[in-house]
Amino acid sequence: MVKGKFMVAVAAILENQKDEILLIKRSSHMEYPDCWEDIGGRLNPSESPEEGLRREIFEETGIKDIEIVKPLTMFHVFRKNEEKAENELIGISYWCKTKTSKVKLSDEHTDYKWVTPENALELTGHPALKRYLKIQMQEKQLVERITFLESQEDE
Amino acid sequence: MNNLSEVVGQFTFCVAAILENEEGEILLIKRAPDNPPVNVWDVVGGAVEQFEDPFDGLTREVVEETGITDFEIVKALDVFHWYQEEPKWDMIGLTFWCKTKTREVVLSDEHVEYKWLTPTDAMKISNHQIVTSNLEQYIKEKNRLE
Repeated sequence: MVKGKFMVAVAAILENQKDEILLIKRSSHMEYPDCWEDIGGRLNPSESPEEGLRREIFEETGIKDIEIVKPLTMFHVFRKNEEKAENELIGISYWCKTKTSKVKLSDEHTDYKWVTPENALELTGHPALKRYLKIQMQEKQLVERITFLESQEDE
Repeated sequence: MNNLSEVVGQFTFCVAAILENEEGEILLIKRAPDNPPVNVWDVVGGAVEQFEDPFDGLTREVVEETGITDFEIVKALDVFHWYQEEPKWDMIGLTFWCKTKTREVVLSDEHVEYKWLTPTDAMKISNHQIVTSNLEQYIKEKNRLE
């Protein structure tokens, strides 16, 4: 069996206290110009996924207070749309929460929006992002249902 | 910095499954003496191959290691990072909770024994930190659902 070697990326569905999701717009001189995307990027050598996730969120948004709720799913892409081993990337998307709403973009992005998950689904043309937004919505409904049941039990 | 890709890591990526049967038992398989880390009671899984979709890799590993073909993913549970001093050994993995209706297991020569266990018994038998962490996340998610 041949083990592959991959770049690994981490991505965040970042949610604020109003249950809105952060989307950021790629700058016009980058690959996939002007697309709305979630936050994320590739890991450095020996960097753990959680360290990488916190670093990328800070670099792309300036946000430091982050609660990593859970991993949602994985994704698989070839960078530059070329099916070569050196372009092959596997990513893990996470559900994260923050109490911060103020965003400070890097020069890789030109705009940001906090939107409802439903609006995020409409805004993005990115099939992988649509897939993990849907998983985040399911997970969130589950947590809300359980919190509700627990509050009923307490009464 | 002339070439940004020089600072990007290259990783082995593993996919793993906590397989649950209809009785709520989960499958652990014992690694063979020539399959390091040896004698570890492991979850099912392994490394994704180059150009393989990681979900296909999960299906392939489950079939190779257990013979089980009917399973479905419930959800992602746990991320693990195994860093063994040299960046070339960097490994990252994602474990999924999966359900199957099959109880019969056909092992490959990488494993020597299997057990269907209650989550509590699986925790007791676990002798590897990644497996223990996977099981803790499974139990946490399972408790949330019940």
